[in-house]
Amino acid sequence: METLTFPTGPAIGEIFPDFILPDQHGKPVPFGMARAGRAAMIVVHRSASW
Amino acid sequence: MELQANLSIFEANGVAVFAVSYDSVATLAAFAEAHSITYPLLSDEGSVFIDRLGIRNTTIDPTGRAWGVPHPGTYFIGTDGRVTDKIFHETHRTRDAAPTMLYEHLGIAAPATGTADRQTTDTLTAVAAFDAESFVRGERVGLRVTIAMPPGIHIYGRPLPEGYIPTTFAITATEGITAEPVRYPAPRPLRMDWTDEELMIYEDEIVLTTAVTFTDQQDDVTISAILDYQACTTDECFVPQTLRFTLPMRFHPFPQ
Repeated sequence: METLTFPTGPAIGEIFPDFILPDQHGKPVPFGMARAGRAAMIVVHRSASW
Repeated sequence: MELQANLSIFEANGVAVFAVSYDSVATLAAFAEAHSITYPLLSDEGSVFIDRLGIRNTTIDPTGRAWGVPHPGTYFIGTDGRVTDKIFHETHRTRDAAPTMLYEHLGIAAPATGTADRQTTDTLTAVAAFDAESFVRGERVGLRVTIAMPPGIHIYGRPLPEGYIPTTFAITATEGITAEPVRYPAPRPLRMDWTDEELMIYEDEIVLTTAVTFTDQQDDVTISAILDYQACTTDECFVPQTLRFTLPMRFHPFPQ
């Protein structure tokens, strides 16, 4: 494992916080409902524009 | 984009894919349009959710346009809503190839799409292949080496007594890339009739894994590697071998 010098959010084993954010169509996406019982991968990017 | 190209594999394995950034909906709409992205690109304008996760990059200038960006990373969430795994790298330039994430974090062996180099000898077949055929600058791409032996043949793992040759895969040092230590499966012990020594061996089929990060590589590159091994039966050992692999990788300029 790399040594990291910054926080990385929820720990392994913790419940990932639910959230609602708009998607690229402006439609609100409630994470828990959109996941619909499936496993999920959430990629947090810096930016799509630069 | 690579994640989009592999989306069907995630979905077929019951994994929903989401991306989050601090961009506006308009920016994400343009990006999705330009790269034909169908999975949700979620807009956290104002970085409220990023702050809730506690991953805002606070080392950058608060007056600049980049203020609000997170330390980029990836979370894997189980069906029960708990974090099962996550990926963060010290440098934001490092990003994992999608098939490598599938393999390393979800246990899904997506077909390796990189050029495969297959070597066959009298005692085994070894195939080395990158998880992907191309890379962007900073991309971390998994490399799998599958070694298949016919019944009766074994090769050696570690630890081993003096004089035996453990199976060793090594990537040749190349400017602009960083290779990780090779991960070997657990060997099984074998005790021969003619010796008190216990030998650690591999039989049937094994997969060695490693990963290469194309840290500063901005051109097509061929990665070289060697596999050292000695094959034996319970009666005899064959001449030690060194196999040489060449794995071409194509540079893909990151679309901006």
